[in-house]
Amino acid sequence: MSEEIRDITQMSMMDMVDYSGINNPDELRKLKERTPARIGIGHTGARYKTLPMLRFLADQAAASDAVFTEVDEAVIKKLGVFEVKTKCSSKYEMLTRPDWGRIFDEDQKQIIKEKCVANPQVQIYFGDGLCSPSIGANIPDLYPAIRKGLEYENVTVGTPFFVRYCRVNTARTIAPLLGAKVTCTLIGERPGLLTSESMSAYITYNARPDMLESEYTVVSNISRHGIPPVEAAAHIVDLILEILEKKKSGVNLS
Amino acid sequence: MQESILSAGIDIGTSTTQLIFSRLVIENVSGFGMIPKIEIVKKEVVYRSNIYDTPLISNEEIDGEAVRRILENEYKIAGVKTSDLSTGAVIITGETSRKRNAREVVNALSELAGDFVVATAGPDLESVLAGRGSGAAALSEKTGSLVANIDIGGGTSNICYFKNGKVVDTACLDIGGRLIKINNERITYISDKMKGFLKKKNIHLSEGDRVSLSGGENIRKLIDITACMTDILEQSVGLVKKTDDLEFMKTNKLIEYDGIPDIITFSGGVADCIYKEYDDEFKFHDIGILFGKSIAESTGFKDYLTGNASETMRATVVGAGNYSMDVSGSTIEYQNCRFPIKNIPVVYVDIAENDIDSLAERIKKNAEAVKDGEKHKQIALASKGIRCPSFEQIEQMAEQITEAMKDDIEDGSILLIVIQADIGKSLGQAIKRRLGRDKPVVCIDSVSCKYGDYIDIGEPMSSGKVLPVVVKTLIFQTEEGR
Repeated sequence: MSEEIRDITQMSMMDMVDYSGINNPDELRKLKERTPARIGIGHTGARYKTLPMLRFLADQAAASDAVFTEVDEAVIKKLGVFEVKTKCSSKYEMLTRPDWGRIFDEDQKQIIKEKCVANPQVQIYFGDGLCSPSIGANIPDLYPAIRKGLEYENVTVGTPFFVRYCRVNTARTIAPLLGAKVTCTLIGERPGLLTSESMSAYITYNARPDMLESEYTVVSNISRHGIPPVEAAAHIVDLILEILEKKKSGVNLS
Repeated sequence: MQESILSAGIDIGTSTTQLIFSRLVIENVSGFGMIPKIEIVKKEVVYRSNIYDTPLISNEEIDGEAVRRILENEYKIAGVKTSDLSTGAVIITGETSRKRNAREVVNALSELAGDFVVATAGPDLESVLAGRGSGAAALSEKTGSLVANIDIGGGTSNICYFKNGKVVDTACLDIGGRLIKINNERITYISDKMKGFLKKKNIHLSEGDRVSLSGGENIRKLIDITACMTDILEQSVGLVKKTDDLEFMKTNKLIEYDGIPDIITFSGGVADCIYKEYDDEFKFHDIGILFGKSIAESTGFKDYLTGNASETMRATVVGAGNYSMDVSGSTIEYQNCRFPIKNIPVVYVDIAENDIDSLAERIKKNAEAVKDGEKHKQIALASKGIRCPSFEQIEQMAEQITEAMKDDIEDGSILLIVIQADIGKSLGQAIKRRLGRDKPVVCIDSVSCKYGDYIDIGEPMSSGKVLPVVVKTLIFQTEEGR
């Protein structure tokens, strides 16, 4: 019996293809090159074949894990930032009480205020959101590239930190708390079957409790499967510069 | 938001001179929350000129003034001013490009075609432009077949193989409809290459000989010659066994791709002669019609004559107007540069995740080869790059590149980087952080080029997000890999 157990999630979906019964394999290959969607993977009657079925279950489990697992404290330590949490006390609560995922208890607000530089032009912080693995996968390349880019343009960047059980609208509290002109929330985005480590950047000018959702400028799909974190960072730098200059963000920007 | 630009294509060929104007529509095709992705979404020929005989002063010289008059008149008819043009390509093709004053003529015409111009083409690029213009490239993409386009002009035949819309090989032969010219039943001109070929084949025919369509020895010789030319074309695409005639007639290189085309399309002036019947076979005062007839009757090509080129006569000029330009990626970085930047030779380097620390050394070595002793030569640094590098790797790459190009940058050269992977902006920013705001830097991505290519970069479009780019493959492929 073979000792080796194959990790079926290692193969790219674009390479998983079943040519049996296909008249024109070249055409199918072309289609496969254009999309990571589950096409051309064969079938047995109306059902999946074994490998695609197992892969589907594996990807779904990874997506589900990405939502429910906690970001390891070691990951945060390695990033060298401090941690606070929203009013939620567990992942489960964060999912069931979105309203609590955007507000903080007083003691947490105090920590943020004490540890952060006040009145930065740009405040960047990280949130687990709906995808915990995205923090460790993207922040080490994404954050320093944004910071270096902004500093080169003489923009002051505040003290970064990590928010556990975080939703995007934490920005409404954090911006006034620290007196930040622009907030940039780097947050895990809802995973799918293709990637379970994608991140989005929500950038807004003058975030405040009564702001509109449409005031967020979003850059999504940041991951090694989507937009490379370093390239996304360079784009975010330019977006932030534009937002600072025009003093507005979101749909008002275009 | 859509933005449309006007492009000119001008082709001065062995037999004909033509002009087209086309409209290229560019648009941001990416969705909400995505990084912009600006692409050319539509290409449309909006004006086709008459087809003119290329004016020559002698067999060695183009009549540049006459060409200019033709073009200026066409501009007037079309109602187009030079200032309306964002891009364009003037190309001199076939035998004409070997005329003594070819380069001066193109340079003199540049101002007519707007600021952004491909000055000369070369056989490889010509083959590609004709193949794209004829619709062969699109056909290969649609069908997934291996499609060969043979563009038969007056002096040369340009062959291009396409698979899935991409160029896989090119070739060029000194075969065309105007290698022999006839006027008033008398041979008035035989090209040097053809003279050599006649000698090789032991066919006695010279300028001044009488030739009559109604019969005689000499017309039979001409028919034999066109049959030979057809045979060489068949050899070139692998339909019949190769002989040394093929080698003799090659311009620069032959097809090396292993595989017989599924579809062959014909374009160029002679292509029309394949499909049409003519009463007077010397109507064009050359052997084009006889040649076309010979192809139509050939056994090798018989199965391929489906007539599916969407452009025949105008394939090259449509290719020049529509397909020479592309746009860079939409996340790029540039500063302190005046555009257009033209005819920059490409220095290619490989970059892998584990060999960035030796990048500077390799850049210097490869740049040396391209500069060939010329110290102050502007070069473009090209690489496939790394698909998803870490921040550390970007910093390292920037460090190595600025180190390797130190002297060039001091000399006032533009630090010009062309990367295929989508990392142009991050690399560009990292480089700017090292060089400061004064040095000219261009760092673009999503453009692939290789050793031996030349690159033109035009003025920024789409509110500065993208740069138009023309990659010119001028040098014979055999030097590849240096």
